[in-house]
Amino acid sequence: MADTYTSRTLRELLRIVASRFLGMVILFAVIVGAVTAASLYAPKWYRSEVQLMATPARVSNPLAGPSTSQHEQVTLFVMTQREILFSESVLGAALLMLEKPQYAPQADGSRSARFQLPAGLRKELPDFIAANTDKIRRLKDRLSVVTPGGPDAAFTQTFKVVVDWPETRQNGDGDRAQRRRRAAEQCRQLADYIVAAYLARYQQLEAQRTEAARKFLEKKSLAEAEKRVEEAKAALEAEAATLGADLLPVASIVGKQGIDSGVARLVTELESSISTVEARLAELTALRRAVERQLKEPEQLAVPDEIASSSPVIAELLKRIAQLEMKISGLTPKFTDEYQELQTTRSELRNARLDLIRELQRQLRRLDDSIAVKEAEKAHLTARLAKFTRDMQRIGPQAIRYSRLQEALQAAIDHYNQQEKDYLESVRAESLAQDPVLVSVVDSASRPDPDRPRRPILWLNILIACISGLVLSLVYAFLADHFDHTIKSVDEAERYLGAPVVASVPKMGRHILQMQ
Amino acid sequence: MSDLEDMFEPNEPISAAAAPSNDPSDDVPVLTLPAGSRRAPRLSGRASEMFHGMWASIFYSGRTTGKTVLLTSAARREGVSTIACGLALTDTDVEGGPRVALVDFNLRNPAIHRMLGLREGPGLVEALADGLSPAEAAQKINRNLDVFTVGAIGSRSLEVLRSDAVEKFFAQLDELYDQVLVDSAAANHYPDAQVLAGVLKEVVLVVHSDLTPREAVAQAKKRIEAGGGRVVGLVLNMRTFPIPNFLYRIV
Repeated sequence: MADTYTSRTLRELLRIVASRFLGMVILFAVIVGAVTAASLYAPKWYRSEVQLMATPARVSNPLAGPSTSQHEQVTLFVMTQREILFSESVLGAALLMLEKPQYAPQADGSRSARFQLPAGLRKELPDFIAANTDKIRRLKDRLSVVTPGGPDAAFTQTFKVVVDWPETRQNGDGDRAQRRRRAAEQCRQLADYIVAAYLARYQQLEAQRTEAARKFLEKKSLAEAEKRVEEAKAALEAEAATLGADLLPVASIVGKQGIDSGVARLVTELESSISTVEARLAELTALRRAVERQLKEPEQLAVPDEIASSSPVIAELLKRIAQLEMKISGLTPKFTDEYQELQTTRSELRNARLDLIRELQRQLRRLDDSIAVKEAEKAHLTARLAKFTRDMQRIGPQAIRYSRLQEALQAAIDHYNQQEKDYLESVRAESLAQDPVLVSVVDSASRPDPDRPRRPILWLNILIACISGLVLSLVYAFLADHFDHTIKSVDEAERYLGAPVVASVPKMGRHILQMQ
Repeated sequence: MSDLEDMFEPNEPISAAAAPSNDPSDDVPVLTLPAGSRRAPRLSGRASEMFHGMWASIFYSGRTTGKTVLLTSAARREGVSTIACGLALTDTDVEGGPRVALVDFNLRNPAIHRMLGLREGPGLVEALADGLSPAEAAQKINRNLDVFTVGAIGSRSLEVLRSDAVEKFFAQLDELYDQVLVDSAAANHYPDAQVLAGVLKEVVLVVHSDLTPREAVAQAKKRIEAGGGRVVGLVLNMRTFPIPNFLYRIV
């Protein structure tokens, strides 16, 4: 199709519209007719509005707490009021009041600060809600809460409750005017009742919250928790005193692991440290013997590596001796014994050897010192092990008591922390309760005019229908032509089929041939 | 938009020598005149002009090389038989006009005898299968036009299409007449047109303007060319002009 797509001339466009004109007209008529009928027969409704305002009782103390500023109070506040207003209990109560006027608040009763739902209504409410869930749902659709600045306005002090109530036919008998008046009156009443029920519910929720906070504070559980902590600490310290300072870490390990395994662990630890010390001792003694042997035979220089590496002086001396010996062995084949350099070198070698011997002796003394230290350490460890095995039996149960007291102390501290948190919360709640956000009714429900219910704007709807009808019928015409593959003109035939058009025969009516 | 009946106006009766009907009790449509006299159909003025133009552009424009032209269409009911009749009636009642033969080769839905008020009588099938001579099978309409109606097809359509008989028949017609018009069935539905295209070689394709999709016409053209024929021209039938005439000059 792409290769037969000619550029659209104006004539082409007119042809498209003209050839499908009937379809376009029908489509247009259907659209406009449907919209007009819908607008004319749409249900009309009445609107009633109540204006409410939220104010804190007094300017709150900014030092009272970090999050009780007035701004935040009111902000979060408005968003939660929506939820309360749309809850089933409030709407159910309002509908029940509408149905049974004996529960309805008096003329100015809804404005008083302490309005409460009558007892009879409260009793009947749960059943009513269960029986009329769909009515409540429809009421939710008709209710709206308008805040200046849009539904997500963060900070607003005023808000409007709007009820749109349809001008239904089931308002009982009577003529049309009477029915309309009744519908308008119902709309207003419903708005009032919803606000009254909402205020009652709001106060009820506030009271519940402060009640809970007050009860908590009365219990004074914080002081109690503190006392418990002190007690646990004292017990622990007493126990620690009886154990003795050096056994304290031992006791904590034993306590954690239990008597047998803890003891066994400690014993193995001590024994392993003893054996390490003994090993080191053996090394040192061997080293000492090597150095002694070396001293007895100064000509044979076989200094153990450890000594050489631990003392830089010796290492250097060894290097020097080696250098000198090499030098001598280099000189002797060439020169005689009287050669000056040879003699000086030999004397230097002798001096170096004497220095080495002195150093080795010093090292020997150092080794002796280390050996003595290690022996002392070993003795100390063995003494400890002996003492421990002696006291093992006595330590066991004491150690367990100790560790248990430690755990008790930790638990008491945790409990105290929790109590402290709860305490802060309730202090805050109580301060909020003393400084509540009051909701008051600014205007009572507006009275809708029964003769002028709200209706859809006819001229606007028809205008929109006309425009969209026009657009849609054009869309139809061009779409239908786009997908129409029949041959409509000589040009199309020649372009698509490649054969010359020999004649173009206009339509001449039905194919009836009579010969009379 | 005059009716098609205006195209064919009944004229003065002529006493034409027609081959007698084989069976006098045949239900011959619309003939209530005494035997021997028949009204010759004629084209009305407007239609006559149009068909004159069509005739000229088919035969006098150098598109055709031979005398015979096959008329067919892509689908059924596109008006081929009407066009064939109209074309045949052009220019045939005058002195010195070409001698024209109209052959109704539409074995599936023959309509020419109905349109022109002829009897079904011995016709094409008899000429091809039974060996009847063309002079005997033809029916004379007016001075220059001979019509071969389809005859009694029965179940002999395949037998009729056997190519040697067809070739022989059209060779005979070629000698006897100046132009031969052959009407045949739809090319996309029946094989007749494809077979005849191989024999007759020159095909005019009739297209119903707002009804037949172009792909169907392209397929018919392909079939004709596969059969060995050549589409010398298209006739766009049943044209409608939704835009009023004066706009054609402005827009």
